[in-house]
Amino acid sequence: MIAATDLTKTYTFHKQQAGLGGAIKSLVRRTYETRLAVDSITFSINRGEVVGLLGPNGAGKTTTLKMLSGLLYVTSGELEVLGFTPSGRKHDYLRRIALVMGQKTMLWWDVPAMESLLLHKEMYGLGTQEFDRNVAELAELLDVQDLLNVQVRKVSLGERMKLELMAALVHGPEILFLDEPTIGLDVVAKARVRTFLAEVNQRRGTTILVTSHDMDDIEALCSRVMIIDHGRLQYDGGLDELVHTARPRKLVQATYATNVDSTHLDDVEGVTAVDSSGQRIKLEVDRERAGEVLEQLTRIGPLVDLDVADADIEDIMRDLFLRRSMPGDAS
Amino acid sequence: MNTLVRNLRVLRRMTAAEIAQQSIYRGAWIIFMAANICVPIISLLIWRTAIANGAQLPIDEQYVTTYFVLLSFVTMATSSWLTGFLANDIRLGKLSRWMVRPASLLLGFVANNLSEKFLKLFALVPMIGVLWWIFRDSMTIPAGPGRWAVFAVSLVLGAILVFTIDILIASIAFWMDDVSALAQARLIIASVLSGAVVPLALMPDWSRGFIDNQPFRFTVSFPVEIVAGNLSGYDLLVGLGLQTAYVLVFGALARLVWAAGIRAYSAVGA
Amino acid sequence: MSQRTNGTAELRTYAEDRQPLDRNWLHKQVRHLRLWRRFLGQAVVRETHYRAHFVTTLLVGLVQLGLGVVPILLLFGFTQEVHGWSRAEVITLVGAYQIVTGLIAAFIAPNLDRMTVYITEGELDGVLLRPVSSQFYLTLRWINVAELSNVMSGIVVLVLGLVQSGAAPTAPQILQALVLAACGVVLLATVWSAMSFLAFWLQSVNPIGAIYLNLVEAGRYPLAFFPVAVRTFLTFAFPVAFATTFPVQALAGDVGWTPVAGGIALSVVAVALVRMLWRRGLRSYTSASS
Repeated sequence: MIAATDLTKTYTFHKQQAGLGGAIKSLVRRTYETRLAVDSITFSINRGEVVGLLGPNGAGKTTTLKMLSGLLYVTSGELEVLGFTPSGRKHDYLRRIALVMGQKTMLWWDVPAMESLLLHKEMYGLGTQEFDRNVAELAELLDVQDLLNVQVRKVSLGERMKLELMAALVHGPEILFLDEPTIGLDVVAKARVRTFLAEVNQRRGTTILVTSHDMDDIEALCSRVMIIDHGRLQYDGGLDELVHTARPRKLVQATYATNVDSTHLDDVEGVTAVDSSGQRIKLEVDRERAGEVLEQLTRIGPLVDLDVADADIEDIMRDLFLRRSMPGDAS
Repeated sequence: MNTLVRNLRVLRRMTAAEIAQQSIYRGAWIIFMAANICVPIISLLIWRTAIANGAQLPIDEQYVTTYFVLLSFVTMATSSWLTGFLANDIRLGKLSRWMVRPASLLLGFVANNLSEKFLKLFALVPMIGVLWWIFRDSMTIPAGPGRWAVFAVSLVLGAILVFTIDILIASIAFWMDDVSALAQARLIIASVLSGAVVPLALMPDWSRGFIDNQPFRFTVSFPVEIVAGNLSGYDLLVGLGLQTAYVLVFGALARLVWAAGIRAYSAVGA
Repeated sequence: MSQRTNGTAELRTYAEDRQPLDRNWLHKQVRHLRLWRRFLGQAVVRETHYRAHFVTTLLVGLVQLGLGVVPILLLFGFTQEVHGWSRAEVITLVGAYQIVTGLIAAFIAPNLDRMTVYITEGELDGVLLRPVSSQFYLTLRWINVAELSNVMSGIVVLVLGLVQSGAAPTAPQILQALVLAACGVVLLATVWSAMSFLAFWLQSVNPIGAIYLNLVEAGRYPLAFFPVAVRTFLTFAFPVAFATTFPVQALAGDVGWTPVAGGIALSVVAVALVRMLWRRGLRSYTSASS
């Protein structure tokens, strides 16, 4: 239902130097600069998917979302969503989508959320029955029944995000675009938002495309991940694959009954970052070598506890963006 | 004496800095000045039509034309916007940071005032020039440089007068929560009594005595009258004297009230 | 590409084919009208929470009305009539001015003042996402109900002036006046909108708003008080003439139907031009914003 082919976005802007001289110069001769924000990305998303869009700041994630929701014109390439061209901003298209931006609130500040919802009712041409039903269902799912008649500015950040989501979904969109929805929220609020989004996807089959820096969000919600860096689509596939192939390491933590000597472990092939103190050894090991290293660990001393885990996703991401090692690359 | 010299030097530096900073927004000033010149032009046209239609005014076409052409210049040159900012600083307790600085608090405001006027000047003068040229046949131009000198002096005095009144009103914020209503009232009264809406010469006869001697006349109207009107040497002298007197009186008053306010402010603690 | 499998048997989605949002053009207008009605309702409720604001607006409006009348009272202290206008007729005009500026201040001004913010803070995005006309939304979303008090005081002044000048307008004349005044409101609103839409290309349009507010003061006086060249400007370029002079002349019975037709034609052209400007600006915004 979403099909992008060679999607590209470049910005042209003129640079102005500061000061009087610069201002006069800009009147006479303008120097233009172009910035390639999104560079020829191609992907397609099917109905009902929950896709995570990852990337460092300025990678082009928000620009892509804005093109998908019709806020930005496409410089070149093709983009089709639900059979529409988003930049045409046809009303029939806009009523089928919703966009929520974590850092910008679209609810009106001084009025209770209910008033904003009523405006949405008129804007999206919802019948009273349909509207009441949706409001009731969403309010219950989000547990915000008591907040609907409170002025939005008096509501905490976490609660406000819930209200934003409610406002975004009251017209029953088929696609929900989310830009950093959990930014600034505390742990509890984040969890609630994630649960809610998962429910919405399950119950209504709403396709969700979410950008986030927070790996927990992605892990909890998305089975598929697209990574954008410097405007290019670097990875598009399952999250599990990414974890496994991007950084094929295991984190091992061994606890012993007595103090052990682990210095010789540094020299073992495939082992990096050995951190040991007394009775505990922590190390990272390549997946292929894991079995051998584990065997060695049992021989070092009387093993009390052994913990083996996959590398943290945050680390994977950091690796990807710093070391540029992609799944499939030789590192 | 040393303090005065030091203050002047600081003032010069601050003003230069402000000018540099604000010159980025010169475009905005041009448009603001164009906006400010609209109403005097409208008044100019109205009164000229009235005169041409045979209305018996106590002043002639020359006076009216010269008056309104110069009005926006004088209004700008004597203007001050201190009240709101100062009252706000007082109300929000922001004065403390000023009291720590070596230079006087007011120096900053003076620098800001002068620098904005400097930029507005560049925007306004060409426009007034155009206006002057359009109506050149009806403009009164005083012969000797003497009048212009008096005009310049009166202009400076007028600016100081407005500045001190601003401080006076803002100082009330030491005791009153919301000075904005008072400030608004002052602006409205001033706009009528300073001759910004209508030349004071057109005010009804029964109000003459009051109108000619009230302080607001000396903020805008008097300097304009020096050029536009037919003030005799005696009138000029009396007028200047009165203007200076008002500057001193309001200056002293502002100083007193300000000092009292600072004392009350420091006593409570910021 | 793995897809989430749904465990629930009953899958309620909104993916089914829907009726188009607006069956026809008329339906679209009705939907926007209903939206506007809700804007108005919410604005009224908001106003009841800030009663001090209402009182302040009323007082400030009355003071400005008074100040505006001062030059006219002084002027007619020196003469009985100017270019055929008596004092009472000019007072009527002042009333008309108050009504027109009150309407614009209530329905248009609160929106145009925000234009710079909409564009520089990216708030325009929130509007562009909705299936409503963005120009409609941006121009009419916010309503300053308190300013309607100035419309009230304007009506009072207008009636006073009519009574004093002994004018007894007939029904067709009142209709003429209303149509002309409506054209005046539309024309002034489009001129101000056009000036504000320049925000798409300039950084800030607050100074430009100041030009509008000062120029519109020309509407306090009859067109005849201005030199001929200026009259043309005030009729076609900055049409205060339609807002105040023509309606008052209509009430005195001095206006045929030609100016009315002219006013309507001019309004249609102006609205079309402003729409084009808006589209241009939007195009520039949606190409450039990051």
